[in-house]
Amino acid sequence: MLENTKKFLIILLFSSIFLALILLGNKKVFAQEYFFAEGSAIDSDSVDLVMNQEEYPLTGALPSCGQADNRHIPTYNIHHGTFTDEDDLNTPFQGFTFSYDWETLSPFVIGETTQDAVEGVFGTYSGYFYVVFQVAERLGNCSQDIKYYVVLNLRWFEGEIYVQEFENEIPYEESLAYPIIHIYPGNNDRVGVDIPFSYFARINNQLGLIKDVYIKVYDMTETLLDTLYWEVPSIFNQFLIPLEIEYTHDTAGQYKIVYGVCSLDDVCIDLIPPTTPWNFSFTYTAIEQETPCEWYDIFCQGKKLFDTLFIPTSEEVEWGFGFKQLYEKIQTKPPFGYGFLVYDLISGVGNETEGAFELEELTPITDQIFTPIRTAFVWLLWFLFFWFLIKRFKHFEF
Amino acid sequence: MLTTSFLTILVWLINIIMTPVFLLPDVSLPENITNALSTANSYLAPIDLVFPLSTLVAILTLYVVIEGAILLYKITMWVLKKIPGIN
Repeated sequence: MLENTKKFLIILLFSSIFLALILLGNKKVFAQEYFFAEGSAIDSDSVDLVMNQEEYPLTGALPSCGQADNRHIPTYNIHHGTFTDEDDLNTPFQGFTFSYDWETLSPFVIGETTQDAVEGVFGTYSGYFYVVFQVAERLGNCSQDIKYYVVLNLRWFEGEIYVQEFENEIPYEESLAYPIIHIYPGNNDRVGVDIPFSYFARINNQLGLIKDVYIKVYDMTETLLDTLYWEVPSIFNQFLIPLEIEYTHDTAGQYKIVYGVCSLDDVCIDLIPPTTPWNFSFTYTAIEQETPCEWYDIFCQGKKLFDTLFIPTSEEVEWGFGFKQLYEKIQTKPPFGYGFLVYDLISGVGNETEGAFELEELTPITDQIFTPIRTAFVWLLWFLFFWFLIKRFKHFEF
Repeated sequence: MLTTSFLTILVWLINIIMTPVFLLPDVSLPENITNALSTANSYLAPIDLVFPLSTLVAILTLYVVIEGAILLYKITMWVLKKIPGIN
């Protein structure tokens, strides 16, 4: 019985390894042939560009601006950028643009603007690609004729371009109007900034890489109180999004927020213009003000003395008592510097390193097989580490 | 005030001890080693889909830090024991 179980387990193990090898072998992609757009709705963060030969139609509700007969007619543009490094990202893109007519829902081919175009392969390219969704026209009694742009994603691609029909339309929402940054109130003294889609903004009619995100804080009389900037992480560190920003104002009350972005060439735009009425206001928690002690209040005076003697000021904590400078100096000097250099080189594994090849991700396989295995390994590794730690210090002689 | 003074003096003492190290030139890795590690990284990156290499690197770093701290402790104690009157 035991022997049979053993045999079964061995067969199961080898079968699993064999299956895994087949799956991994099929997933190895050096230069994909086809380039598709994938996604569900524009307000979900799942809109993505993938490179494979399967169909990922966009889905979503019919766009509207309040009434059934007042519709946005979006045209969908795919731009092909030829830049290869960050410095070139801000230059105007040379490539192709196509439009798609949502009334007929006909398929299209990149490079052609005819409404009855058919899907197919369009040339061989390499470079960064992204999709821009554009609301080109507003009908009915909508008051403004505004074009909105959303960059869905950016991927390095090398190979043939193949475009197929997007089956459904995309809902018109605020996330479409202000696609790049979305600020939401968190706790009382926090402001969160999401960059759901990309680092790009359309500034001065050019699509540019975002360098900074800023928040302008106004009081209720619309007097500007503060402008705070945060540097956006490099485009190659996409794992760092979303940002969460902490901001504390020294007086409690209601404030109005305007947020915006600055491009690499320091052109900034407010994503919600201050001249329009806000729906957004934010209450900040006041910083606790120090109250003066009465001379006879021994407890208060004692606390003050204790604070003065033992609690460093925020400036001193910020300064780090010189440890920061010491740490910076040590980082560059032998023998510690070698450790830091090697650590910098190897610490990017699995996070930021561009792989020599890619294992193409199929969501069901990743979710149901790879992710649980990976999670199990994470737990196992940490368990082994803490096991080692306990044993190490158990026998340690002080 | 006292905490700040204590920590500042501590940093000052460490700086004095480390002065010979700080006089050395800045380190840099030979290009071949950098290239070798970068290439190895690029081949290891896809494996992270199944095996958490980033966790492994973090754990190994912690291991090195802990062992380094233990070594430093032992060296310090050894030096202290050389001072007459201290056991």
